[in-house]
Amino acid sequence: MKPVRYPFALRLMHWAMAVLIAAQLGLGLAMIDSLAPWRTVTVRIHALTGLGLAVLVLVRVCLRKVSDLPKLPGTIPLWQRRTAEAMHLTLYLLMAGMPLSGLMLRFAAGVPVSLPGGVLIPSPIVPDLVLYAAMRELHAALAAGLLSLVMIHAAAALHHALVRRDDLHKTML
Amino acid sequence: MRSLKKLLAAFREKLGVLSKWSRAPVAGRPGPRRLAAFAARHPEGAAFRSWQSSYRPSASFAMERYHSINAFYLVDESGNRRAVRWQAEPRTQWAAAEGGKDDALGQDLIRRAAMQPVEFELVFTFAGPGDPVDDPSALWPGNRTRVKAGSITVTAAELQGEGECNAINFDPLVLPAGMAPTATPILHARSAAYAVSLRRRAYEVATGDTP
Repeated sequence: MKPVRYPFALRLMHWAMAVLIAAQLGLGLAMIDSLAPWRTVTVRIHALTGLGLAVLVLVRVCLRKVSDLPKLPGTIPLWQRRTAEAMHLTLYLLMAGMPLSGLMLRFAAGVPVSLPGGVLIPSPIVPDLVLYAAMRELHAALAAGLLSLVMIHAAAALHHALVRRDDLHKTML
Repeated sequence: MRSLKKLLAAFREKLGVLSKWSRAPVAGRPGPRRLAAFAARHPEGAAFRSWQSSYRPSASFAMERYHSINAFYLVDESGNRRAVRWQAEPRTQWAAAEGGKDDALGQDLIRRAAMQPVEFELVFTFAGPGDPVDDPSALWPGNRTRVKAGSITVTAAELQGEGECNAINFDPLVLPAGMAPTATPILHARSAAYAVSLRRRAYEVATGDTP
């Protein structure tokens, strides 16, 4: 017998990371071409939150591996279940790719990562314009992909909650 | 309702930035009268223009003075901070070799450094009480404390295009321990603008295409 809800830890992580990721996407979009003085502190918050999210993604994947997860009910057509699986996998790949590309673009530009307490992690690689271009454009493309998928994910959840009323959304509440 | 529309328009514009550079530069009509009008609208540039009118560029990078323009804080171990502007003052006195070719100044620096180290003195000028710390357009009085903080020695130089520094983003906010940025808006805007500039330059180098 499969549990009807995700374990508490995974539900907590889902909502906490949802808030953080929404904030990261919003911050990223707001600061991307801003010349305002608040951008300096925003970049720092964005980078630190990104590092935090990288750790959270790792913890969450491990938790998933060791937890009993609810299965999608058989009333949902197979192609939709497959699509949902593929979407969730892609969401995880994007959640991991965002902080990695963010870290790499910083290092590729020769910019250190500054942690709280004045700790500086210097770039471990030789600055490289082509690598920077790849990471910078990848970071933007992944952000656009993540934003789109998050919206589709939310729309699908709302569809189950409000149109189909099959209580699927309750597995995460 | 109108603010919601504005918000949506701003959001659409932000989305556009993700995939392309949405704000193409619009070419205006250049002319000295526009510059004069700009100067009249921006009286804070007067100090710069008065310096500019008496400035004569030196014949070599090795004989030039360099200024931080923006002020930075020096922070001691107990957190006390004092604002400084720094200058790199040339020690090279000997005149330039022949110029006129492409990259004349770059080639000159490479030649000089190969012959003997090109040296600068790094000088910190400390702000006095009430000096404008956050306004790079305002001069500090000439009698402020100046401290020799160190020297900069250039032992080798290379052209920028193929040089090792080409890929580095010289973000003025990447500072060593013990230095902190002031609230100078232009200092923070420089950091932001250099990031955009690096993105465009890297894109161009990587793809051979202008963004």
